[in-house]
Amino acid sequence: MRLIAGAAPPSSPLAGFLAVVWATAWAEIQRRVAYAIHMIRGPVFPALYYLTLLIAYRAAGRSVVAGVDVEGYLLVGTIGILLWSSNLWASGYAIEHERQEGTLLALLLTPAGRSAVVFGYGLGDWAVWVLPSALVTGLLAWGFGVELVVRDPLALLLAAVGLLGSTLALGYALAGFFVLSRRANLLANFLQSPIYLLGGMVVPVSALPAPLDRFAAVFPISAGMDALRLTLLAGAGLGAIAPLLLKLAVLSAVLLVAGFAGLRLVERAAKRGDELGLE
Amino acid sequence: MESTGWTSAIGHELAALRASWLVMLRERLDFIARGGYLLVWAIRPVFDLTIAGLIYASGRRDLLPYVVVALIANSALWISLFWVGEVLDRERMRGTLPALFLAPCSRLGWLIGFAAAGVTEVVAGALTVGLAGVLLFDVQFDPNPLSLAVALPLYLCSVGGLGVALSGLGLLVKKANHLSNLVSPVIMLLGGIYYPVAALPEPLRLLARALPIGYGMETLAAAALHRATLAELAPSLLPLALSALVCPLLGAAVFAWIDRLIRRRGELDLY
Repeated sequence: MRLIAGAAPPSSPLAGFLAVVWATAWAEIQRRVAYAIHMIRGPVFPALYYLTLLIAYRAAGRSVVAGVDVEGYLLVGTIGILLWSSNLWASGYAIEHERQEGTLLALLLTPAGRSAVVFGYGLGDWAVWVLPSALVTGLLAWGFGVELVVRDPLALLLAAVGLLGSTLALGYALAGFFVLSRRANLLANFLQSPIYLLGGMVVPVSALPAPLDRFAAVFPISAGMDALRLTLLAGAGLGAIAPLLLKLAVLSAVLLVAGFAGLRLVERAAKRGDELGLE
Repeated sequence: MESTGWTSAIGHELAALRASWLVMLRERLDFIARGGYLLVWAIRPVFDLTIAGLIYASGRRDLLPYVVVALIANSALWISLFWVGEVLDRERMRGTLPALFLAPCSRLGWLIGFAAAGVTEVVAGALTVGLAGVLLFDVQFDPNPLSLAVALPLYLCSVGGLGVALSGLGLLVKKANHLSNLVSPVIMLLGGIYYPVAALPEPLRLLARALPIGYGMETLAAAALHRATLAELAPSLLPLALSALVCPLLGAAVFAWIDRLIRRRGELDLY
């Protein structure tokens, strides 16, 4: 946890919340840029994974996936992968990271909002990893001839905001869950690639056999990717994605409640002196 | 008397190798059993296989058996990158690296012993993928035992050598995990894991041909699926044999160079 020493008290709860978000995000950015290899390797995985899957689809003789060009389908899928990985290793891992660093108790003693810390980790990760990686993969997709069909910029904007917002909500829900599981690293490793499959990131959900196809119905990043694919690749308008936006809003609300409850449980466990890590 | 000295020295090194292997194996088994990591490493490639299966299901189903064998072989590659490649840096983080370097045996002895402790995960991953290939995608194996007996050790020598080289480089960059994560997508793209190297576009195919991985995948796939003889495998087996010779030497050379460099800089235990 980091606070700006000697800073004046925030003028309102919102200002205090934003100050903690900003301070945490900035600390996360500084921590990440400290090692050059961290910055170099960041965009490499998503870009090369995109390319690997694109070559596999082409080797299979498939140029259209789920009604859109494979280049575009995988581009949005890669954005989903980036956000999911950020969920796992940044916002979702935020409280666990504090525990590993030995700063969790200090964090719980400060008046700073836990949610602000979680969102700060997430935003810091977006700045140093998600955004540059999405740009590099986007350029790669452009080089391979991705066709964007945007007819309603407002719908595209809302789809993007809905996707990002629900991602932060998911990270918030995971933050408490990871620590309470006492197997954060194991869970994060375990959940990573199965969700690429189950979430419709690299193959369409419709191709999955039942009951595997049900997971995407309650996974917010899947709904967000659907909205983004429709508005970015198929020229859909607000009317077409309204049900998806509503779904994102409901799922995000549920996740925020779950996240709040999870972090309260972490706080109680810490106050009882429970051992929160077994690794 | 000289031969007795040599025998004694080799025996000493083998004893160090065995002791390192046993210690690390116990630690790994305890870790993977207690933490459940074996499940993660065994299940993960099944999802990778399913992704490939769904991509090829409505197009080139004939590529699926190849992908199954390549993913089986990838189990060794994965451990070479993420276990062998990070083993020195891991010891440094624990604070035990300087003591290891002062141990009265050769460094390669304990390093090979540590590396061999990853075999458990390799076997678990390989068995799971093979089983998933048979059960989920009805893949039929038709192996040539002799070809496999020749190709598999060559492949393991190649990827093991690369792992040792990476392990040394990991010490240099001080973030071995980031290095593994940097190298692994390159290997995924060029190594012929999700498709044969022949399916790569021209410039990438040329790059892939400079790596031993693709030759290994092709050789193992042909030997395991099509009963290919050694003569039939010659075009890919010869480059693989060459890399099995070069990669361990390269690994040892890189390790020795980094060893000298790091000690001269006084960075052995600096993280």
